Amino acid sequence: MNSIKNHTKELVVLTILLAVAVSVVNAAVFVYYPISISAEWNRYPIKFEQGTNAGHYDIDGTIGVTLEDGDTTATITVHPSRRGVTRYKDILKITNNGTQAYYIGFANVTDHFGAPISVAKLLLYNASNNNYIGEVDLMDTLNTWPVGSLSAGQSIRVDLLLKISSGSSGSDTAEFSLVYSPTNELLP
Amino acid sequence: MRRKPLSPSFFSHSNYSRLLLILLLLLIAVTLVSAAVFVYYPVGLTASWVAPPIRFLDPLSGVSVTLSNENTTAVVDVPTTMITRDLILVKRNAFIYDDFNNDPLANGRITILGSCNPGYRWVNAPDPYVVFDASNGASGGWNVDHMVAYYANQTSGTNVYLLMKTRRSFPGGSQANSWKGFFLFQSIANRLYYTYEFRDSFSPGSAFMTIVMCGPDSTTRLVTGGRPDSGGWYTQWGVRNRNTGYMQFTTYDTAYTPSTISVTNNSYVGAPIQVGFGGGLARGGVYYFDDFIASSDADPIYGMYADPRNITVIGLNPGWRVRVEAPGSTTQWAVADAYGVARINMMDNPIVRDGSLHVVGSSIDVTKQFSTIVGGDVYRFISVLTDRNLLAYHNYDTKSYNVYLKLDSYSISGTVYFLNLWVGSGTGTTPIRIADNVVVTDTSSTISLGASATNYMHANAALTPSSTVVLTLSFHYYIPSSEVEVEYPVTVTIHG
Repeated sequence: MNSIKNHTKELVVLTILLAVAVSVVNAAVFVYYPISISAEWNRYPIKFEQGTNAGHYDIDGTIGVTLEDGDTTATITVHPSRRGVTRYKDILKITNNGTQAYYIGFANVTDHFGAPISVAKLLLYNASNNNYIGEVDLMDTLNTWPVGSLSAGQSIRVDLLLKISSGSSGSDTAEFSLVYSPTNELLP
Repeated sequence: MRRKPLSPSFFSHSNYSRLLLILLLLLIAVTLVSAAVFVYYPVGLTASWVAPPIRFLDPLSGVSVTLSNENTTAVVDVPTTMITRDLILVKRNAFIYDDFNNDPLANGRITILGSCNPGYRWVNAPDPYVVFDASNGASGGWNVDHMVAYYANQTSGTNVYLLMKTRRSFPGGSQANSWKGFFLFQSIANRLYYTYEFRDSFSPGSAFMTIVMCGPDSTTRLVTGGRPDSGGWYTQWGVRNRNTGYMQFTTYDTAYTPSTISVTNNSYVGAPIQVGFGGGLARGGVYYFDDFIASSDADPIYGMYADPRNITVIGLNPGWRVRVEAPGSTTQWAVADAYGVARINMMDNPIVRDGSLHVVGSSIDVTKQFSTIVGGDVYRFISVLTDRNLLAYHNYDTKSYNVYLKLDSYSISGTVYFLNLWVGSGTGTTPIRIADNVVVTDTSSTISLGASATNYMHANAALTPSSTVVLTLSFHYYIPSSEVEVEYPVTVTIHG
């Protein structure tokens, strides 16, 4: 006890120093660097177009193809036979109005087709020469990236093939996204 | 020794700023390349399926039709009860055949060269024939008058076969140097030819055969062989290979006992170009000729059966029997071999008019008449599906559709000689067609099917007996203005 009393002065100094040290460690330091992000929305290069058969006779009614948001959203309604295989030719086009080629694919299939539809495919062709490019299976949620590339000034013709076997009428919807990119990178 | 000074390093102090700049640019470039930009456009696709507007129906034509999936899937079976049996001539290998049913000279079929005597005449007997006659005595002594009747038809192929019936008549007895036989010309104008001669002799029974090479001024016997001529109708048969020059000459007596000689000589390359018959007649000689046939193996498939001594029937089942039936000249039965091929000996009557082929087999008894049956002919026994509706289809919609049929795959056991499959009435449109087991056309013409209309898929075919053909088809219909196309599966099986 006498020892503590004899060193009171030193202990006070040590305590003060420790307090100062702790204060220094806990002090939050914020450093600010300036960042500037400019978003320049420009004319977009890829657009949907109605296919040559959009609006024409379907098995029942007509082939409905609605384009919105400056031709960047497509809503398609068809009326296939509930028996056999029904194929729709040239209902939609994907056109590159830009000055460079883009990779084209389909992703984010949030809703896919199911029974009684057993086959549902988008069939893609070069609109200029009708060469087959690839197809997209609308029966699952897998991304199809990329299907192919689309040169500047070119279009892709989109056909639709559905195989249905049902004893009664019905309806189903698939929702997905067209994706394009100037580079063939993995989708994020 | 002095060292050479080192060159200044790029990584010297003076280059640090340059290096830093390059690294910075590289970093920027990599950043730009790796920058992946993905743009997403939403798509919604709704399918609202509706009742099929076109559906199949049973055509009620006797074929078996099984429909399913609300009459949008069809399985058609054509049983053998729908099949008829037939015999067809598939190849006549004879390019000349003449039974002298009328005068061949008067009708311009032959040209006769040689001495004005002995005289030619056509005999209109019940079985007509032609005669070279020296009995008027114009020929005399040792002199022999040669006469040849030749045809304008030119040969083709490799082997040229000749067959003919001949008979001699010498009121005054046998005459040396007289002969009857074939002429095989390389050139008539230049008198370059071979003769196949069946010769007579002073001594009865010592006649002989010979193959002779003849030129403008000389003759050379290439081969000889003994063959007595006892009179009556002998059958002469010969062949020459136009490439190798191999020649064979056979005579058959009235009992069809053969005697053969052969030789190879190719001095007259390509001979015969034209052919004929005739001979050399001494004074008093008379020769009769009948049933002349010249055939060749020019046909790449059926030429192998060109020998005019036989006719051939193919497409039979092994063991089936077939013969030619004609008034007074029915042949022996020929039995089909393991390949279904039967060969009928026709030497007794090599050209038959209004005769029939008669096929007998297990559950088979078919007779078919032909206006002429000629040695070297090839006939085929076939199962025939005459044009028959296989499937009906009806349009329940108020708008028209275009319809066509496509062959997706097929299997055949046996042989399909031909098969045609149409959509729509009549046979004026292009059918799906198979010929000799090969698909010639796999898609039919497109026809229009009006609102509430019914039409038919129909077919005809010829195939080997006991064969089976299975066709996997797709029936298509589409809206002309919008190219919306629907496809149904159809399977057709035809039992031969």
